[in-house]
Amino acid sequence: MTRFILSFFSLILCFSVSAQRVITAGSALTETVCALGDCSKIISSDRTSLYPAEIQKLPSIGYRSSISAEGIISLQPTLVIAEKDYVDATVLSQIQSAGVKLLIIERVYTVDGTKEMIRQISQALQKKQEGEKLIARLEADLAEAQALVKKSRVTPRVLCVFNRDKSSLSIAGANTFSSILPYVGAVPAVTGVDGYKPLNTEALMASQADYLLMFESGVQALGGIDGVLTIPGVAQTPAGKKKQVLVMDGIKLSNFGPRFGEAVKELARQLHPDSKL
Amino acid sequence: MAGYALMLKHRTRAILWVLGAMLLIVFLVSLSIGQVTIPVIDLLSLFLNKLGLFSTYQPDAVHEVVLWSIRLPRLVMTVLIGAALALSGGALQGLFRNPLVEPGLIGVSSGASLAVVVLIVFGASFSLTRESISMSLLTPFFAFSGGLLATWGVMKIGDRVGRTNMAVLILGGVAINALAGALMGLVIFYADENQLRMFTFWTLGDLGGATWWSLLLAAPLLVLAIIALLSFQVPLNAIALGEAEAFHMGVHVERVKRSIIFFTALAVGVSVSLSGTIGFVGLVVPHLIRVLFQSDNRLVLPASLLGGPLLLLLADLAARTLVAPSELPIGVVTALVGAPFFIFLLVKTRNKTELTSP
Repeated sequence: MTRFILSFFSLILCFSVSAQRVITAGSALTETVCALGDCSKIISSDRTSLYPAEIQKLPSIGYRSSISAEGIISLQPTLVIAEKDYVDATVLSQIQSAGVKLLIIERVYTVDGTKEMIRQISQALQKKQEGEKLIARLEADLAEAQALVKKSRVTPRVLCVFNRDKSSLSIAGANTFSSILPYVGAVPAVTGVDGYKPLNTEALMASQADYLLMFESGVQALGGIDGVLTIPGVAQTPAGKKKQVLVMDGIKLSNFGPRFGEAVKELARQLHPDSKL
Repeated sequence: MAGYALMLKHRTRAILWVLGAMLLIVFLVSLSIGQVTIPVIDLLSLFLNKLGLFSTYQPDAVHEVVLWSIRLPRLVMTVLIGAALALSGGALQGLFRNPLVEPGLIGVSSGASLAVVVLIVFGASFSLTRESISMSLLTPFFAFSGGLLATWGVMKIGDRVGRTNMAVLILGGVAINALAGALMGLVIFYADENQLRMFTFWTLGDLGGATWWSLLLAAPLLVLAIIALLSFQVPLNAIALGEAEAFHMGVHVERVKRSIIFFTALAVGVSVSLSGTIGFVGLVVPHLIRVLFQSDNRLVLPASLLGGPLLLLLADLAARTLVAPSELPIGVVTALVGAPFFIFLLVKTRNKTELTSP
């Protein structure tokens, strides 16, 4: 009898643990939930959430204006975590009126913004401890990178390039993934560009960039590093002459999520080979 | 002769009744079907509860929210917009005696789009759009004013000493559309990724943003425009014979022209401001009616009034359910649903159809 009661209670326990049903809207938010160990609680996510890969198998709530309140409600979530200004305000208030708990996170693309995001999400998931651990690891990674940068005697000029295919290359200016540069002891090779603007050959040559920083997917689309070096104008820059093209996973580089520290450390090592710990 | 007219009258009435019944059925089905399925018994008890009638059955609370604050306002808006767009298209085609005319031609849509893209891209620099709430209030306002302003420009171009020259008016519409398109391109050049995406999705149309509040503002205007446009059935039939002929039949041609253009701008402007640009409905619904039945405006206008919502409701049902839990853009679906059907009709009736409006 006791065994029966015990197993009954453990069943209830199992049920109440798995009862948390989370929907995320925003790539970095999804990544954070997973980094906190709650990946299995996510029942659906938006189209930008591509990491970790298992998320892609879940039903997608869509992208921006194609995200609908009814679609979300039909999945019966207990918690919706959404990026501010990503999902329509009307949709959010409709979800809330259906009695679903809502966590809206304003993305700020700085280290403090990342920490704040991790704190908010870990609190909502009752995983405060895990959250603090993530933050501690982020800080440790950043400190390590900082030490490298301090020892280094160079401040490389980095040109951030974004592309999806062969034909359309853009400079990633302010308010893009180039915001990572201050953390890795580098300066942008082109200033005064806001957001993504078409890359033109003359500007590329004038930039005198020491490094190009690109997404893995973008470099692949160009046919590898060799393909990048054949972009008109690249050969005339120090980056082209020394074949210095930095390649990183796009999501890791641009998300300012839980892997931000990792990304910073990786880049700092490549940008400051002269300083060793 | 009198017998023939009577038969036509009966036929018109029958067609309208059938269309009306179909619209009602599709509306009720749409209320029940969606990403969240609301069982018919819940639907009934929710309505009975609302009317204060006694009901022992307690419907699901989530169903209640979905029905009252999401689905019903959305369907009401879909019906109003479908009616406004199709009726505007029908009235303009009759007025211009040209089957290629659609509401976009008098500049409403492009004017509205230009105003919205300006708001999306430059709004932030005037600290208008820091809060997304003010954005959702300002977008309709900008769309409406932009649409009306562009139409006013087109009217001014077509105005020649108090008389509207239709040919000049159409060319004026083309010119204003080209100008608005160029300005949009210029604004888009300054847009960042985010703003570009917002604008792209806005132009594809979205019926998901309907709330009772947005309807409270828009519904009276739409109903006014719809009633006004419906009243031009007989004058439009006269204009179909020619402007001079209509004038001699006692129709105030100038007044009719101006009123129709004004009310179309109002109807389309309000629609665009609510849901973004939804193409195809205004152009094709009146055509469908003409190809299927006859081109008497006494049928085309009221039948458009019923057929527009019918097409839009069906398209919206598909948009809501096909890729659940996500949603397709409505503008894409209207064309996907309507175009093949329209092509089928065109091919089938190729020989006997005269595609000119009445």
